[in-house]
Amino acid sequence: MEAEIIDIKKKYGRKEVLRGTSFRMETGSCVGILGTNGCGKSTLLKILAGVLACDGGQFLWQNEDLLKNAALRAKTVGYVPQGTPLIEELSARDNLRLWYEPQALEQSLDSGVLRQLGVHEFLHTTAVKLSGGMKKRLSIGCAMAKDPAILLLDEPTAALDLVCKEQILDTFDSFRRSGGALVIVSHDQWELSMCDSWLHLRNGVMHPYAYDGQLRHLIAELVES
Amino acid sequence: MRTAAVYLGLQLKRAGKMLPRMLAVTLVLAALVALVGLMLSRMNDSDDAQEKIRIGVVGDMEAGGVAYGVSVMESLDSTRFSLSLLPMSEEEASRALKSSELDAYLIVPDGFVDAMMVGEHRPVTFVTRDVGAGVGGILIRELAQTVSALVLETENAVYGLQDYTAENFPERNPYADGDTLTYKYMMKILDRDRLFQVETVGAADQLSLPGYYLCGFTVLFAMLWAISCTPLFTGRSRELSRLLSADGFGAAGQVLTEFISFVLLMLCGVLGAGLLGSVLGKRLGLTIPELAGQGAAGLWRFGLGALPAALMLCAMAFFLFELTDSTVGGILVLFFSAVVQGYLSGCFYPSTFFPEGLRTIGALLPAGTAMSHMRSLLLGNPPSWPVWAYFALFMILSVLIREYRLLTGKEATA
Repeated sequence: MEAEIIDIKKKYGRKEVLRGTSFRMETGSCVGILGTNGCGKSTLLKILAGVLACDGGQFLWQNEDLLKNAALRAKTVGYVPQGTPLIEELSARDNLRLWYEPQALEQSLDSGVLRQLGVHEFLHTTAVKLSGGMKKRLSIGCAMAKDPAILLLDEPTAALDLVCKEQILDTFDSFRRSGGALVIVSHDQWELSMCDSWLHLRNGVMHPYAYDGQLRHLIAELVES
Repeated sequence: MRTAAVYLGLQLKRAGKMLPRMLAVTLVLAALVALVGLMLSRMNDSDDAQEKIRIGVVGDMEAGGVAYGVSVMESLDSTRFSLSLLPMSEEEASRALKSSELDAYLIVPDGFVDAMMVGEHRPVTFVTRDVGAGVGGILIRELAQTVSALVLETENAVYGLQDYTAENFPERNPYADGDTLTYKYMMKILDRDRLFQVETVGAADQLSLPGYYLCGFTVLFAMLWAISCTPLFTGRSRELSRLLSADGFGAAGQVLTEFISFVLLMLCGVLGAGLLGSVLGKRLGLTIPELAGQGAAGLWRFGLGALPAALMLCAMAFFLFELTDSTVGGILVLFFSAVVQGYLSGCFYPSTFFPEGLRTIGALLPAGTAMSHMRSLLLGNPPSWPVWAYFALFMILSVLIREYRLLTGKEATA
């Protein structure tokens, strides 16, 4: 199965951030999106996740435009934003209750993705007391509640320690192996290395990029752009 | 629907976690408001003389007609509500002035009235601490003008009568007892108590002062109390709002559920404050004349009737936090809004003290409509509809702002 993003456009006032962004992804694939700060990477993810309206374009999945079919999008797409979409005063369990059906929550905590993410270790801790890594794992757990086919990740392991990073990337790897598609906006070498195709968002348009694992080549290209 | 129910439950749980801190703030606020109310009530209950300007009168009260003068001044409409004239010796007056028991004293020289009758200038000395400023100074000038006008008019009348009598009834010798004629004239004309009865309705829009301040402080309390709920508003995650919106739970649902949890929290606070207020009121003997004889049921009826005003003020606080979307900005806007609206709408002083223009503006403000609603409750009039209009307006504006933020992805700046 294939998802296709076609001609996404977005303006902030007079500034045209996305001028017709298009790309494809297969199930079981991982697409890495690169670009300088403010080039529109996060904007693109927000549009695909349905949290931001766009000025034009399509997000096709099973012949349906997910930008117009909100119900299907909610089931198909999971989104992990840069910030923490949590109710800080409540426990991890309470936060999960917002996204999971009661039975599904127990199942996931027992043997599913929440167990894999290690959420059960801090289930009763208030979100405000969680570390950055724990909050990120909890956010990912929330995003995966509906067993999405596509996961959109905005710098998912930024500022996390290596152990936490490894744990999260393992989860993504499992997700991909089980047939899920990943779109990662990142500047992180570890995250980029798990992708199988890379795109450089430049002047509001996507360009294929041959990432060779060498950050200096990427930096040179980013500086040039 | 499931998301809405769970989100409401979580918001209530969140509000419940903040309840102890908010109740503590509520109790402190309620105690402050109760203290101010008690102070105002005690001032209101105290003797009228305390509210008047206290003037000592030094002079021989038995001779020269000074006692007559004092009696006249205490009968004059223009002075009897504002002045209290107290005969005393100069030594006593000086001591009382220094200890602030008097606002001023007059030294009436011996033979003052006799001298005045024969046209001799023998001035009255006025001694005060601060003659240039304040209500006391203004009243003293008014008093001097009143006395001058009184003497002149009396003299004109007496001289006219004497001349008329001399021309038409020369055998009666009208100039023989001018002083007695003058005193009699003053007392006959100026003893106005027999002509009409004065009833004081108060300066508080037909309410008693305790009733008025019950309304004023309840409105002020409701506006200031919302500040203690700041964490409830500023702790919200915009990322979460967007995700919920993308999941089909939009701005209207989010605003409504968050507002319900805020209102329930407010009700807990008001209940706490109301219980504290009624216990304190009973202990300290405070009574609201409009609710007298109705017991606890009257207080509860008043509390329930005040709910629309409380809902509207909650909606206003919710709207202001939605608008500012930051801790510092929200607190500042809420505080200044409460103080300015409270002042203009008469929460601190009865609005009848203000000029007409300010009174109109104050009545149109949200706090003014809340005051009007509470006043109607106490007077037994039908409640006012503008409270509901403001409530609807604030809720709609809150939803629109949330919708705008969700659609545009605009973040708070502070």
